[in-house]
Parts: sequence; structure tokens; C-alpha cells
Amino acid sequence: MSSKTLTLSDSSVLAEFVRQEEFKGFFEKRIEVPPDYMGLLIRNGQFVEAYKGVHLSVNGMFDRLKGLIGGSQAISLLIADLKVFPGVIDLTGITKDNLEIRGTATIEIQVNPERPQGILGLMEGRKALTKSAMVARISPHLPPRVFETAIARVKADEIRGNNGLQDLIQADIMKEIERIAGDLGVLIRACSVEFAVNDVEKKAMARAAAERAAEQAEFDFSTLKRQLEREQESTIIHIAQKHEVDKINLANPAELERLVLQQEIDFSDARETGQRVQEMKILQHEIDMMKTERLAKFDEAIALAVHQGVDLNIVNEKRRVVERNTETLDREHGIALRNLQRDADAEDRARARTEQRSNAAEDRGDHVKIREEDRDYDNETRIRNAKANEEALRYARDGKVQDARTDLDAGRFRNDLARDADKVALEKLQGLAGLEASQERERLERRIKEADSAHARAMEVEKQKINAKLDEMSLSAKMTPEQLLAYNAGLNPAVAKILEEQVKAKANDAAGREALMREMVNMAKDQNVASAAQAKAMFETGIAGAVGTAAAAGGKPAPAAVAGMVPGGEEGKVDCPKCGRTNTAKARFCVGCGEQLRK
Amino acid sequence: MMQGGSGMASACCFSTAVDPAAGFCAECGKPILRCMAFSECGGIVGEDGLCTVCISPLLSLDKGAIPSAKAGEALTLPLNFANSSPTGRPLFITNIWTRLGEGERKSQDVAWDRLDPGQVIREFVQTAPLSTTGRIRFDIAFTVASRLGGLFWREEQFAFVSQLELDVETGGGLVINQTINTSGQGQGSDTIYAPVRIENDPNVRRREGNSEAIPLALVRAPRLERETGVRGYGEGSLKGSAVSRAARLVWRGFPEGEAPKPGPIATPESLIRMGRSNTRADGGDGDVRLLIHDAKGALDENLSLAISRRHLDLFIQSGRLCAFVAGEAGVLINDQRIPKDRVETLHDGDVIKVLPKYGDQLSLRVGMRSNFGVIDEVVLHRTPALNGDGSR
Repeated sequence: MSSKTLTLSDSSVLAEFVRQEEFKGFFEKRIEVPPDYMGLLIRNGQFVEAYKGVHLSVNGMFDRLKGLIGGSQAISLLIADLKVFPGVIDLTGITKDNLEIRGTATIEIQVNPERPQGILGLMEGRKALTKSAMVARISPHLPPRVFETAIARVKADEIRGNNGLQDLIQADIMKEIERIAGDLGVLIRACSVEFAVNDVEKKAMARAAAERAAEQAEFDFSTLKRQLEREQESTIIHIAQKHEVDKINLANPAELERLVLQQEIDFSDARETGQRVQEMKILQHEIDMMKTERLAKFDEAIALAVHQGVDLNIVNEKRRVVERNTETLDREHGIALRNLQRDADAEDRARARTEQRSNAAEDRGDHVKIREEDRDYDNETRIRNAKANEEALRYARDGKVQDARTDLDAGRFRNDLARDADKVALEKLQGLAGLEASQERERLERRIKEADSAHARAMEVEKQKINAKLDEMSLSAKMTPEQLLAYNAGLNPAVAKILEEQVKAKANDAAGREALMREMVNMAKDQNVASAAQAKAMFETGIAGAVGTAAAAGGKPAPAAVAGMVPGGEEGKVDCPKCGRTNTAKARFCVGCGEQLRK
Repeated sequence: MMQGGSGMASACCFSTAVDPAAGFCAECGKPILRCMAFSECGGIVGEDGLCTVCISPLLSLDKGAIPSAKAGEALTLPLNFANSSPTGRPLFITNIWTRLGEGERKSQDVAWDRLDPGQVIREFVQTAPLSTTGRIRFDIAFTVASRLGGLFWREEQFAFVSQLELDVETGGGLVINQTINTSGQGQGSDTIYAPVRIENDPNVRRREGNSEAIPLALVRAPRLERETGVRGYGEGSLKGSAVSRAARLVWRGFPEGEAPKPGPIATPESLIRMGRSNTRADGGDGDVRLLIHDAKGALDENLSLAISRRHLDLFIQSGRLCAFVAGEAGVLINDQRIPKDRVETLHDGDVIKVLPKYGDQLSLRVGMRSNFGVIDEVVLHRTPALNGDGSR
């Protein structure tokens, strides 16, 4: 008897209750649940047992089922798919740099074979549970708890290829699903996340694409350029070949024959040249070999001589003497040769001139003889002959003059040569002297510059002095006669001012002021008064005498009561009770110990 | 244009200072602190020892100074150093430093040192490359020395600083700003802000040339003086302290009339002469009389004759107490023999043995008291100490 296999009604269904009709029909049948499915037997609403890959016999079950079906008990069978199935969940998150990232998580889930009854908790009604419904129950929990948290930690350009991030998200997803549906009989087997291309990556891709395009364009350009160059080169070769071919075509047989002959001649020349070169090499080799042999023999002879006690220094000295003598003789020989040559040249020239003159005379003599023979008795001929003789004599005389001129020209030529040589030597000397002269010139220029700078500095100092003098003059222009008097005495302008004020205060008329001013200037000079403060102090202490003098000079009686003065013209004194030092009466403190004398 | 100087003398002191024997002002009672070169300058110094008559340097940015520098380039400034002393005393510029921003202070190599009165010497200083744009501080510091010859050479050194602010603009102008604070000179607290603009742009530069020398304000730099050891003590227990010119010298263990009253050095030469000769009060030319007494207090004439009439001079130089050995026999300072014609710096706790061969017969121990870096009292203990009548 064949068995009927119970499966799910649709591949999208995860678990499903078997309809009652299926039971009614198999009184004489066998039913089977495949091993990848789970059969769950439920009686009277209570889970009885789960069968994995169960095979039921209709007969074996009939008696038991008959009572059950026909009886008062309610039996139902739930079939669940135990195979792993995928689910896809859309994810969305915001990166660290605030960019929205989209992605999908693919999860592999399965009904837990150990606790299949748990899926009853996921079923709505008592019909079926689809896989999509199963995934839909999970998917709302993943984006906020897993994806957004993980994505917020990284930037947009750090997501792609980030295995750490993948592992983190996958682990969190599996942990979250286990937390959500683990006790409902759902197992999570695997999980993977795929990210959509974000804006940053799109821009990077666009930029990379543009760079690739640019590189490709550059490559195309270089390729094209190279191709054009190749074409140009090949064209030149082609044209050149064509030119040669045309040349050959145009050549006539005679030209070809000449060409062949020329080539043969060239070949023959080359062969002969090669032979000559070879002969030259052989000769050079023989020369070198002989030279080496002679040198070796010479060295051997020297070694032998040295061995036999010959002093090479003496030999070398003798050789140097001989060389010097040889050089001297060479020079003398050269000089003698040049003298002989010069004498010979002079003789040749004289001989040539003599011959020339003698030939000319002979020619004329011949002519005379012929004419004498022709006109033997002709007086005119005789006269002409006489003239001719006279002419010959004159010519001979002219010839001597010409010789003298020639000698003179030769002498001038020699003088010119000597002058040129002297000129060259002089130029060389001037070159040496020029170097010294340029050094001297540099030294002089340097001295001039130093003198200029020193002059500039001196001018600057003088200028400052003049400015100071001008300042003094401008200052003195504003001074009164009394101030000028003090200022010209070498006192400070401030001191002069103080003196003037004091004089004005002490003396009334002009004569008295002048006398008083002179007195005080002298006093200030004597006491090295250098500042206004000192000048003031001087008045406080020592003006009394000056006032008296000024008063006398001005015709006034001496002041009755002047500080520090006593009647009779003597200054008052007081002794210090502490140190015993004598102080002026107006001193408030002892100048010896600082003790206070009066308040 | 110079600022600084503390304890300026009053006007009344100058009148008393005319009397060479006067040690105190007859009007205000202050001690008269004369310049070491008082015979030449007639100047009175303050507590810091600065004589404004002798030490009167002037610094100015020379005319025609057209520095052209952008960020990354170095700047060269032509400076004019001048001596405006009215008394004909020369100055000696011993060191010049420059400092850019918060960088290290760099010493400038100077080939000259003497600066005669009225003389102007041009010196170029160069900055490090201007690394940043904006306003950069630029300090020019230098030390000035005044020297006086005679039996021995004396020298007072002071440091001055001038601050500039460089505004470096990329491709624009270089602006030198100077803030002159005139407070402390008794003229109120006026602040003068004197900007000097020097353009980098050659076209602009031709239009606005630096036709006049620009005077730079100089400020005393006591801290720099201490750091560089120009003034004060650079080592020992009183490191960083300087002896005030108005420091009170206290003489302990001397008989009556053989030592001056406690007070600052107010002699015309601004030094204390110690030796066998009588004191000025007794008609001699000394200030402290050094004689040797035996155990009973009687004068030991033989040993006293070994002390020269002028044996030892004490003076304050550049914030340090110094001793010039004038005696033929020399002295022992901390048991180290110091021969004649030597100047030695004295420190707190130093012991001067007047006669090297008889060191135990007469010695002086130096004690110093410092308050906030200023040594205002120096005590010289005579050993063995004598009573006022000369007895032990």
C-alpha cells in the first residue's frame, strides 16, 4: 500500500494544521511526514508529541483513531518545516558624519527542532504561519537596537570593507533575534549585512571614474601620438625606399655600369687600404719589438756597468755635459747654417743679377756686332753703338743701385722680423706687468673706497658738530646778555638760566646785575656747577658774598640781614654738638655726621 | 632718553657736595654719595650707584633704516650708540644682546667698546628669522661701563634695555612700535605711544623714507644685571644680591676716633682708606686707623709699623664690596695671600688679616645684611676687639 506524504500547502508557509479531510481519507492508507518536517500531535488543545519524519500506518492507527475521530476527543496535527529559510530585513542608520546609510540584513532562521511547539505562540488563529510573517515579527526590532547604534560610530567612507563593523552588526542581530524569538522556537543560523552605496561612495566612485577616464584619455592620446610617430617614420622610410627605386629606374645602362665600376674601385681601394693598414701594423709591431729589445739590452748594459762599479751619476753628468755641448754645437751649427744660407742667398742673388746683366750686355753686344757688320761704315751706327755702350754702362750702374736697394730691403725685412719678435716679447712682458698693474689698481681702488668712507664718517661727525653748534647758536640767540655771559663761560644753559634769575632777584640795576653775574659765573666755574640743581644750591649757600660784592659794585649799601652773614662781613658758624664739626650757621644738618642742628 | 635710577639725589645735596669734606647734606641731612669720578664729573649717585652725568648713553634707530623683512626673513636694524655725557668722560659698551619674542637672549658680536663723548657709533643688530606674523617683541639690551684710572682702575657697569614691537605683516609693512613710559622721572605718569612705520613695499618706502634717526627709550635693567652678573654677587650665600651704594658701614671693635661713624661711604673719592695714618678728623688722610695693640691694650709700635699708612681701601663697585690692597705687605683674605695692587671682591663672612705674617694680631671680619636682594648694611668686626679707649 502506498503512503501519502503530508507536506505544507505552500512553500511560503512555515507551519500549518492538517485539515480533517486528510484524516478521513486515509482509512485504508498510510501517511508519512518527511524527515525535514515536524509533525505535532495536539489532542483536545494539548500538545501531545512531536514526530520528526514519522511514518504512520492506517491500519495500525485505525482502531485508535476511529475512537478518537468518531469519539468525543479533538485531534489535530500541525506540520512545521524544519529547513532553514532566509529572511531579508531593510536597515537604515545615520553615520558619524551625518549621512544616511541604507542596507539589508539577510538572516537564516529555522524552527527549533527541540522546541517546535513554541511556534504556536507566533500563529494567529489555527491555520498557518508564513515565513514572511515570521520575519515581519522580527524586523522592527533590528534597526533601532542594532544598525543605528553600530553605524553611528563610523563615518560614511569607513563602512565599505569594514569587517569589524560587519561582525559587530551580525553578532548584535543574532543576539537580538535570539532575545526576541528564542523562546518561541526560532533559531537564528546566520546573518549578513549588505550596505547600499552611499553619497560619499558615489562621489568617490564618480571621481575615480573621472580619473580613470582621464587616464584612459591620456593613454589614448599617447597611443595615438605614438601611432602617428610610427606612421611618420614608416612614411619616411617608405618614401626613401621609393626614391631609391625611382633612382634605379631612371638610371641608364651606362650609369649602372659606371656605378658597378665605382663600387669595384671602392672595393679594391678598401682592400688595398686594408693591406696597407695591416702592413703598417706589422711594421709598428716590429719597431716596438726592436725598441723593447734595445731598451732591455740598454738596461742590461746599465745594470752590468753598475755592477762593475760604474758610477751612473758621473755618467749622467758626462751625458748632460755632452748634451749641453751638443746643444751648443747645434745652436752654433744653426747660426752658421743661417749665415751660410744668407751668404749663399746673397751670392745667388748677386750671381743672378750678374748673369742677367751679362746676358743683357751680350745681347746688346751681339746686336751691335750684327749692326756693325750690316752697317760697317755707317757713322750713325757707330754713334748709336757708342750710345749703346754708354747705355750699358748706365744700366750696369743702375744694377748696382738696384742691388743695394735689394740688400736694403732684406735688411729692413730682417729688422721687421726682429721688431715683431720684440713686439711679441714686449706684449708678454706687458701681460705680466698688467697683472701686477691690475693688483695695484685694485689696491688703489680699495684705498680710495676706504678714504671715501672715512671721509663720509668724518663729514658726518663734522655735521653733527655743526648741528650742535647751530643748536647752541639758536639757543644763544634767545638768551639774555647775562645768560650769554654764563653760557660763554662754559656753563650749562640751565645753570645760566638759574644764575640769571638769581641775579635779577638780587640786584636791581644793570651794572649791579652784570657785576653780580660775573661773580657768580666765576663761583660756578670754580665749584664745577654742572646742573641747575647745583646752581640753585650754590645760591642757597654762597650767594651772600656775591650779593655783597654786587651791592658794592652797584653803589648800594650792603644788605642788613643776609642769610649766613654776620655784621662785619664774616659768615656765621656753628659747631656740631655730636661730632664737633664746624658748620655754617644756616646748615640744618651737620655735614660731618648728619646730625640735625636746627629745625 | 633714559629712564631709571633709584634714590635720586636732591637738589640741595649738590650744594653741599661742593665741599669735599662734607659727608652729609646740610639742608636735608642725607648722606652725600659721590660718583667715583666726582673730581671729574661732580655727580652724585643714588642708591643704585648710577651717576647720570657719567653714564649717559643714547640709543637711536639710525636714519635711512629701511629694514625689509617678511615672515621667514631676518631683520637688520642699524642702531646709533652715542655718549651724551657733558663731562668728557668716555663710556664702554661691554655687551649687546638682542632678544626676539620669548626666545633666547643672543649676544651680539661687537668689535668696539669705547664711546667718547659726542661720538656716535653705528652698529647693526640682526634678529633671528621672523617666524610668525603679527606683533613681535624685540629687546635690545646692552651694558655700559664707566671707568676711572688712578692708583688703581675702578669700573661701574650698568645694563640698559630698549624694547621695540615689530608688527610683521605678510607682504605689507613692518611697523615698529615703541611705548615710552615716563613715570618714575617725576613727570607724572605720561605714556607715550610712538609708532614708527617702515614700509616693506619699495614704492611706499621711496615715498616715506626714514629720514631722521629715531631715539629709543632706555630703561635700567637691574634684573638683567643680576642675571648676567654685571652687578651684585653671582655666587655664594648672597647670590642675586647687590650692595647698595647707600649701604651703612658699621665698624665694631675699633677704639674711639679710629673709625668713622656708622654710615655710607661719603668720602670725596667714595672709598674708605684704611691704614696706619691718622684719620681725616685728626688731620691725616685716612678714614680707618689700623694699629696693633698688645694683650694689655698698649700700642705695639713695632708691629704697627709693619702696617702701611695706606694699607687697604674699601669701596663699592658694581654692587659688590671690594678691597684694594695698597700695603706693601699685602693681606690675607680667608687665609689666601693677596699681594699689593690687587682688587678683591669681599663676601659675607670673609676674614681679612691685615698682616700676613701676624694674622692673629689684627683681622677684620665682614658681615653683610641683605633685604630683598639689597645689602643695606655691612659690618666690619675688628679682631681682637678693643674698647672705646683702646683697651681690650
